[in-house]
Parts: sequence; structure tokens; C-alpha cells
Amino acid sequence: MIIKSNLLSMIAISAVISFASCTNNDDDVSYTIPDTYEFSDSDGNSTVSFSGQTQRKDMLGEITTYMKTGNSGMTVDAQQLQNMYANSGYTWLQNGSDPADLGGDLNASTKQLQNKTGNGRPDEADIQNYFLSLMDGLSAASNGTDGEILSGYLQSASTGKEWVQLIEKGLMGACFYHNISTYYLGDSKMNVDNTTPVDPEAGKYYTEMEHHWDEAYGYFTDQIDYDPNASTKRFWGKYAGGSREELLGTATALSEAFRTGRAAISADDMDTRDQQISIVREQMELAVGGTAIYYLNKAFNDLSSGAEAGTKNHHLAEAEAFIYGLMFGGEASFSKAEVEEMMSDMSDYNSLTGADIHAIRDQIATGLNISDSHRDNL
Amino acid sequence: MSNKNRLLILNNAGRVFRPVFILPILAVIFHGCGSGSSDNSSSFDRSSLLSNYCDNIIIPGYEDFYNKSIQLHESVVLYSEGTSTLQDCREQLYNSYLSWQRVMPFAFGPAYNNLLNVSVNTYPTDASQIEQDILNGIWNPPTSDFDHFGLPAIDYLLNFKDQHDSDELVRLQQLTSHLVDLSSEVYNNWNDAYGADFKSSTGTELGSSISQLLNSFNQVYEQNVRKQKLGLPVGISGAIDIGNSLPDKVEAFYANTYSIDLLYEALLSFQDLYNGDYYLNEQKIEGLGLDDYLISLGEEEYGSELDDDIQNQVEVSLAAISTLSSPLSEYVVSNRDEAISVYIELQALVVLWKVDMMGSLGVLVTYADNDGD
Repeated sequence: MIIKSNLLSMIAISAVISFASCTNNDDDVSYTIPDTYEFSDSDGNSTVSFSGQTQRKDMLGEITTYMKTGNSGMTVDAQQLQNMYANSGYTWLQNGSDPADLGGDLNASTKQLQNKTGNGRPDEADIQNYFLSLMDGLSAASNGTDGEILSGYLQSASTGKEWVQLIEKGLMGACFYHNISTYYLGDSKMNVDNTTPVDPEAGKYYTEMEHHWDEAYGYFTDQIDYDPNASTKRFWGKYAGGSREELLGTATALSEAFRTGRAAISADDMDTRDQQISIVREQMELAVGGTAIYYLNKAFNDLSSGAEAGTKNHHLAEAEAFIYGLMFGGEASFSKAEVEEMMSDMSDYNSLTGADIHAIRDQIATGLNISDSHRDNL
Repeated sequence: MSNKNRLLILNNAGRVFRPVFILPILAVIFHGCGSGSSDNSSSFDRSSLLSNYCDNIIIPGYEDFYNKSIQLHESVVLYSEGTSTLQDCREQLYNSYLSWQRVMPFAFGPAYNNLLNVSVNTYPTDASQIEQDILNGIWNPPTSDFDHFGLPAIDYLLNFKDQHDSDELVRLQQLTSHLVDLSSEVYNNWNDAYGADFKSSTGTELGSSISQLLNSFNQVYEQNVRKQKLGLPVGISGAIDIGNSLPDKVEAFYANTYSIDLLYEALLSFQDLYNGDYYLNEQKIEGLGLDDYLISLGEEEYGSELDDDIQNQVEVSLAAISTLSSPLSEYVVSNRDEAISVYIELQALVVLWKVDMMGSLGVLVTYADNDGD
């Protein structure tokens, strides 16, 4: 029965829909929302492009691989890490030789993560400096300053914090989530031309608005045929799944909202686009906060089952990185000050009690209107 | 039985391929065409089962542990005032340890939220940290490290030393008072609201009372009974035989003479829990239990026949524990092979309960085993 009803809903989604709400619009709005993120112009040229986002995700992947060498006792060089972050003076291992690398040769890419971290925020420089200082901390720890390898993770000997997690998952918030929810779905990137193809000669058949929407999508996933339940996904495509998908339906809702919004833009249906912007923002925030809750539950479970402190602190670092991400929403439920207060509540992982972990978790759940039962089972 | 079980120890992964798993999967698929929200074809009265567990076993169990904690604390206070003996404190500790075995299986809900199990009985205890705590004097509740709190820390203080200075007595009272606070909190939570919630959640889905109870039952049996009470002392961690005994891993190491009693009592506790049996005025009363649940599935391999296997294996295991001689810390060294053969009987129950029973009842095992088996 479950299979059948899923099928029905898929048919419903892909069906031609007419919006009664679009009465302000003179045109009769009628268009198809595809099952996959495939859109083309009237000549059949694909109008979808988010290669820059794929490259940045590849970069964060390679950065993370490099950072994790510290877990096996190797020295992590801060300068190299910062060069990777700014894509300057570093030769990427991903050189395009493996066709499985979607972003191709990163050495040919002009994209970088650093100038897309908190970009456009008044505190942009502070945000980027936060990551630069985490990189310095990781490097110092790998050289023996305030670092110890516990349960296979290089962590701060004084606080239990794990730089690799704070950086990787922190950038998922400050770079990827920020660009989805605030930057590309924000007014300055949405109130743009939606009639003229940018540069058909160069293969850019999309309008400016279509492209901005695609860039937001590209920070969510690089899969055209996104499967909310597949385990092959990475970054937000992955973390919107799992228990968040199971209990909150985030991955499915995001996939639908991105496809619906993109179809609306191509049909110049701005009311629907705006509704989908709100849905993406709400569901992305649930993915961010839901994942933070998921890791706090894991940390509590570690306490309860007497797991090693290194394992528990690893989960706390993951949780903190996602909590940090909560400040980057386009319609954020938590202010920066509230996020920073939660982070300061967990400034020393080793002194955090089970009650402390639950207090932070409950604050997130309350702020996001997540029910007690979902909170407990995320 | 023992050859078969040795094989299971060597190759634990293989047991998941036992055919029992086909049953619940089919049941779920076929049931999808029916009407009810239950995912098991049995018409068993889970509501009565939960009421029996809650009202007759769990809440009285926590009440008893709470009372034993108070008695232990009071004996320590009187001992500190010079009006009672160290021997009396030791007897109260023994009673608290026994009482704990009866509530240890319920490591979900209030116990989980209050981190009761790790707070009460994390061992081996860290004696040097306890000495440090005595020097510090002030009370800091446990955060991440629980191995200098609870019964094992009290065991160290009461049983390792025959005389106590005032700083040690202060620490003892802090530790016993902590037990009173914890046990009171969990007992009250069950009484106030959680018990009613527990009884009203009658499904078998993730997060349901049956799922939480059975997962906790299995996890605690597997990790805190089989592995901790005997496995680690004989030098077996999960599927790995490390080749020599670890005598300092026994429960209540400093008392030295409790370890086997506590193992035996723990298995009795699981036997009663499985059968739904409880005690009124020291009279054993048969209540609705997991045995009845299995029997309700019919006279078949994974119904009443599985119940027969479990009943039999519990008796075999109790008899095997009776062959151990106290102190366990010496026996696991002098008679390691014999001790391992007892462990193998305890391991057989993991297979029957965690694999076969959970499969038959259609309840998913949701806890991850952190030692790879």
C-alpha cells in the first residue's frame, strides 16, 4: 500500500497543475513540474547549470580528506588548508582524470569556498576568520599543541572540540546553506531578469533568475534525479535525509520545492516561486536543526551507553557545527546571538552533562516547532 | 548445545541469516493489506502486558531500589555518627546491588533521561579518581566520566577499607545521597507521568513501549549481563577471545564475594521479566509476559517452541552459573575454561532473545552493538 500511495503522489506532483491563486497574473498559468530537476527552453536546450556549486562541494570534500589525515597522526599544514579554502596556490588532487568526479578538474576552476562563506553578510569577514582560525587550531593540534587523538579523532585536549567537524560541517552552514537560503533565494538574486537568456552562444540558455535558482539547488545536491532515500548523496542532499527525512520529510519536501519553484520561474509564476522559497527555507532549516538534534541525541546516547569520550565529543562537534549553521537561514528562527549562546553553552565538551545536552537540544526543537516525539527519535 | 554455540561465538555474524527474519518481513507485507495499525498478526493483548510490566514489575522495582538506596544512605550516615557498624553498611550495599539487578533492564525513558544505568553501575571503578574526589571534598555530579560514582565507588570505599577518616565518610555520604536522588527521580518519573504514557503506547513501531522495552531488555542483557558480568572477566569481548582472564573486571570487585550472586540475581531478574512474573509479600505471582506473547503466536517453531527453548536455556544458564565458585575474580583465572563454558550458555540466550524472539515479535533491534558483534 505504501508503494502505491507513493506512486500516486509522484503522479500528482508531475501532473499538469493550474494555480487558482495566480489571479493577479493575466496569463493562464499552466505548466508541468518534472519528476527530476530537468528543465529546457522551447528549443530543447537544457537551461540547468550549477557546475560551480559542484566544484565547491568537491573542494570541501578534498579539504576534508586532507584535514582527516590529522586523525592518523599526520601534520596538517594551516597554509595549505587556507590555500585550498581560497583556491589559491594549491594544486588539487582532483584533476579531472576520474570521470566520477562531477566537478571535473578543480585546477581549472576559478571558484572558491572562502569568498562564498557568509558572502553579503555584514559580518562576512568575521565568519571567514572563524574558519581560518579553526584551520590554525587544527594545524597546531596536529603539531601537538592542545591536540590528542581520541577514538580515532584529533580533538582539543582541553575542550574536546574537533576542528575537522567544525570546519567541514560548519562550512555546510556558512557557505552552502547560507547561499541556498539567504543569498540566492534572497531578493537581490531573485528580483532579476527572467526573460532574456544570459548567453545562448556560450551555451547559457537560462535566464538570470533561473540560474540563481539552479545555483541554490546545486548547493543542496548535484543530483538531477535526486532520491531522498538513497545513501549515495553528500552534504545537504545527505543530511536532509536519514531520520530527518523519515520523521520530518525534509529531503522529499526540498526536492519537490526546488522542482516546483524552478518550474514556476520558467513559467513566470512568481507567486508560486515565492511560496517555494519559503518552503525551501523552512525545510532547509529543519534539516540543519534536525541534524543538530540528531547528533545531540547521539552524544547523549554515548553518555548513556558508556561510549568513549572521543566518540561522544565527535558527535558533539558535529552537533555544534550544525547549530552554528542555524544563523544562516533566510528566514532564521534563531538570531546570531541565540546561536552563539548555544555554542557558548557547549564551550567545554568534557564538562557537558546529559542535562546540558538535552537543554540545548530542547531549545532547538522548541525554536523549530519540532514535536517532543520527533525530537526524541531524530 | 555447546558445540553449536561455540560456532556462534566464532562467527556471530552468521546468525542473522537464520530463517526467522523472513517471518516478520512477510508478516509486514501481508499485513499491509489489512486494517489494523499493528504490524504483527497476533491478537495478543499488548496493553495488558505493558500494564503488568509497568504496575507490577517496573514501578515496584524502582520503589524497592529507591528504598534500598535510602537504607544504604542512612546506614552510612549512622556509621559516620558512630551509631552503626561498617558491617551494616556493607550489608546494605549488598542489598542495593541485588535490588539494582531488578531494574537494570529498564534503561529507557526516565532511566535513560537521567543517565541512571551508567551513574549507578559503571565499573571497574577508578580508585585513584575516588581518592582525588576525597581530597577535593566538594561534590560535582558526573558529567562524562561515571567510573568514580555509584555502587562501584561505594564498594571501593566500604569494602577496600576497614576504617574511614572524616573526608572519606563525607565522600561516602555524597555518593549514597546521589543514589537516593537519582533513584527517587526515576521512580517519581515513572509514577507521575511516564508510566501512563508507557501503558498507552501499545504498538510495536520504533519508539513504542514494546520496542523500547525489548531493545533495552536485549541491550542490557547482552552488554551488562553477558558481557560485563562474565564475558570481560573471562576475557571475551563480543566475538573476540583475548586469551586470558581479566579478574579486575568483575562486578563489585572490592567486596569480592558478590559477583556470582549478582550474576545469578540478574539472570533471575531477566527470567521473571521474560515470564512477566512478580512478587507480592514474597509470593511469586505469574503475570502476562513475553512467554505468553510468544505462545500466542501458536504451536510452531517461532511461537511456543521458541518459548520452550528460551525457558530451557534460562534454566541451563542458571544451573551453569551455580557451578561457578566464589570469588569469581579468582575462579576466572584458575578455571578459565569452565567459566567460558558458562559464558557460552549465557551467549545462547542472546541468540534466542535478540535474534529469534525479536524476529518472532516483529520488533526491530535498534541499538547498535559497539563491539562489533
